[in-house]
Amino acid sequence: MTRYDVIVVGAGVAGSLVAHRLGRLGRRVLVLEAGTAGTAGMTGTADTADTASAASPADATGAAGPGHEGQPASDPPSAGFPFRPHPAAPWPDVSDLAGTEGIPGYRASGHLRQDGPLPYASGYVRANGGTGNVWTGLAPRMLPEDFDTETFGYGRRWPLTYDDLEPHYRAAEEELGVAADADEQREHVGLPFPDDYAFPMRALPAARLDRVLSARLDGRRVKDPVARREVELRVVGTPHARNGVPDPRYDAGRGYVPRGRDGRPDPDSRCAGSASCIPHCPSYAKYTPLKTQGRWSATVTLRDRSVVSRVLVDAGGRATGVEYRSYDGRASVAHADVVVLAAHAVENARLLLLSGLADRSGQVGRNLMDHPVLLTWGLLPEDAGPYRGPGSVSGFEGFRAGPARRLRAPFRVEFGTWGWIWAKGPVDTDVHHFLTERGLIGAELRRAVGDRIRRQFTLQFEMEQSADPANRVTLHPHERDALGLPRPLVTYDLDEHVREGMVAARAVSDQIFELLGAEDHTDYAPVAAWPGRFEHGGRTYGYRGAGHAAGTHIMGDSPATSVVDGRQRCWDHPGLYAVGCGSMPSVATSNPTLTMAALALRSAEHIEADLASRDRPVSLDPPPPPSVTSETSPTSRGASA
Amino acid sequence: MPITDETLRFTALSARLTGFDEEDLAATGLTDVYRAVASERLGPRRYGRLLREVPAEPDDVVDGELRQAAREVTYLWYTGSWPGSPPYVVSPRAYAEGLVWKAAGVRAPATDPGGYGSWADAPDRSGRDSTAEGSGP
Repeated sequence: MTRYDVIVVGAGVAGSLVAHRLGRLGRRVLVLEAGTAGTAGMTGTADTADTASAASPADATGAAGPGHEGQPASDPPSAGFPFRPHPAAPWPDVSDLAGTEGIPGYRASGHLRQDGPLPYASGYVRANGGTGNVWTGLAPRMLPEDFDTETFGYGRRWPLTYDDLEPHYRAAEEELGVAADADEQREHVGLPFPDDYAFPMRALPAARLDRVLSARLDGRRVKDPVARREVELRVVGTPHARNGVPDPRYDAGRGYVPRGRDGRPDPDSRCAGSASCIPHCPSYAKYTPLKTQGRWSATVTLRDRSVVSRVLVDAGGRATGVEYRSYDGRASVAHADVVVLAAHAVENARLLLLSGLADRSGQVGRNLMDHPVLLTWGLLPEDAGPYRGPGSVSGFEGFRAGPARRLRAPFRVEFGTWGWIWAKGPVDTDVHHFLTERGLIGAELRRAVGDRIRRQFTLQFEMEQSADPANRVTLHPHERDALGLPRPLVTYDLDEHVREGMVAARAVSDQIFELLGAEDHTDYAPVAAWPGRFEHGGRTYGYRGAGHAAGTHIMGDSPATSVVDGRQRCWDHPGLYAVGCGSMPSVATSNPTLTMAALALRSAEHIEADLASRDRPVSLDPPPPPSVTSETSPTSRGASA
Repeated sequence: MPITDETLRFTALSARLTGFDEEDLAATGLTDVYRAVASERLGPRRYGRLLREVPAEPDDVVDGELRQAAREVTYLWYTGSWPGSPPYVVSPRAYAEGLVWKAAGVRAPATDPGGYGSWADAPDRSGRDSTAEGSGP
């Protein structure tokens, strides 16, 4: 059996980056991935046909369809949806959740069971590359004030600041390949970029929808009835981890070369506007962890179909390795000096609970957060130009910051450019509507369907949800997966702060529709299609999950109240790290992948320092400079056992 | 009924149901495939009725069974799938050629991307759907 320096559990965004950074330093890294790689993954089935049928509808009623981040479509039998769960490594699918009449108003089946007042409405993917295969590719930074919401009277403070993370944000923007405009981000988002900062690539061109909204709304003011203040609207481009035009000013004028398939340098790679980022980018312009994996050094080994069932520690609590199962149930053990859990917030918590580790604070699995998303949708008076580029290119940033946070959850507003797909399902829903419900046929049908689809747009209000220990992942008392491992059980609710955020968002939406002269078609019906649904102040609200699970191994500055420290190391277990959004004390209003990536890169530095200090013979001499240490060959400790 | 005659009938029927002319339908290359799918899914009796009994104005169909069959075939042309739970997706090509996209003047996602930045301007719909010009609320 080979001995490794590091075992990484999970080959998603965080795990792939940690493995990359440590492998580049010569460390021997074993990456254990529960899902499948290769033929069942993306690389072999990347042609248009597979993607096309994957993007096709699952259900003409609109109750299910291609999902959003972390919500794979429920695939029709004939479709080539490239990710298929094996019973030994199942994952929650969006179709596992259905709305019902009465209390609690939803039913959860499948891998992720639920018993809370409201449903946790997001899924994830256990396949090589993880949920990072099916993310939207939006890569905004968190705001400096997001790192301490206790100032606003809610949530939990990070043990590090924006400035602490800033160099790692830069590194993450390089690794993921982010296209954005630093001036715009500084002026209209409030991020403190230095004057000379340039992103790897220039901002993507705004979508037609963005241009229509900008012309109609920039400078107009809307009232936030909850915070009792006015907010000026301005359409702002969102940073994207997808290839655009490289910025020659990047990296002090050294520029940037876009990365294409498998991370290979591909100077001409650009987002082609396939409008199929989920489930798959046929032009390989969107970042996925497979791009990082393509650049792994030879010292990194990926072993797929390997479901880690337990983390092993010695008598002193130090991590020594993991036990893992193949799909036929056969158990194996691998040893290493450092174990990094990077299996997604829910699965990381499940694994710590299965192992009975790291829970001195009692916080393992608790503080589960997501971005509950209030959707509103309608028809522009004119052509919205849907289904032609990324799912969202721009948004409103004015509701993310400031004292209004005291009164309601802050939110970011994404403009949805794929019609009503997230709200109602694929366009087949519109065909069904006009054909069956309205009884149209022939030329009338053609005109109605065309007109309807051309003018569709969606507003996606992504709410910050704060850490609440009552929102949690536990092990199900008796439901087990095919390997006999207890399934995760989630207890979830939305607090008053989030609900008030949705009240403000809906009021803002009403005013925006009015200013646009748009027809509002928002209607959280039928019940089956809206498991996340509640009444508040006499109005019905429906939400989706953004797939941004966070908080389950929360980071803090005390072992009494948190699971990991600021380096994402488990307080009680030297050599055991839990990385990913599960560490985040607040999920803020930004899509969390970039922040997760920055944290992972930061942890990789600390892990390397841990390994280097173990390599170093005990000596009273001053330690060698880091550059020498980092190049130390691990082979002396990497002998085969 | 000879095949050729059946094909002609099916094409003519499809044009009336979908609002697209026979040339548009032929351009999808799916007429024969859809004829076979419709025939199989509906069964010989319902399929036969559909070919023979749908009037020039399909709106005028009052018979429930016939109306249902007409809708199923129309749905097939528009979406590339036969309705059901879940719908039966005929093929990736059928998805790509779905009339729903042509009605909207949009390419089916993942099939024929417009290139970098193509999402920025008003779509060029020339030659895509002449009936769509200037339509509004």
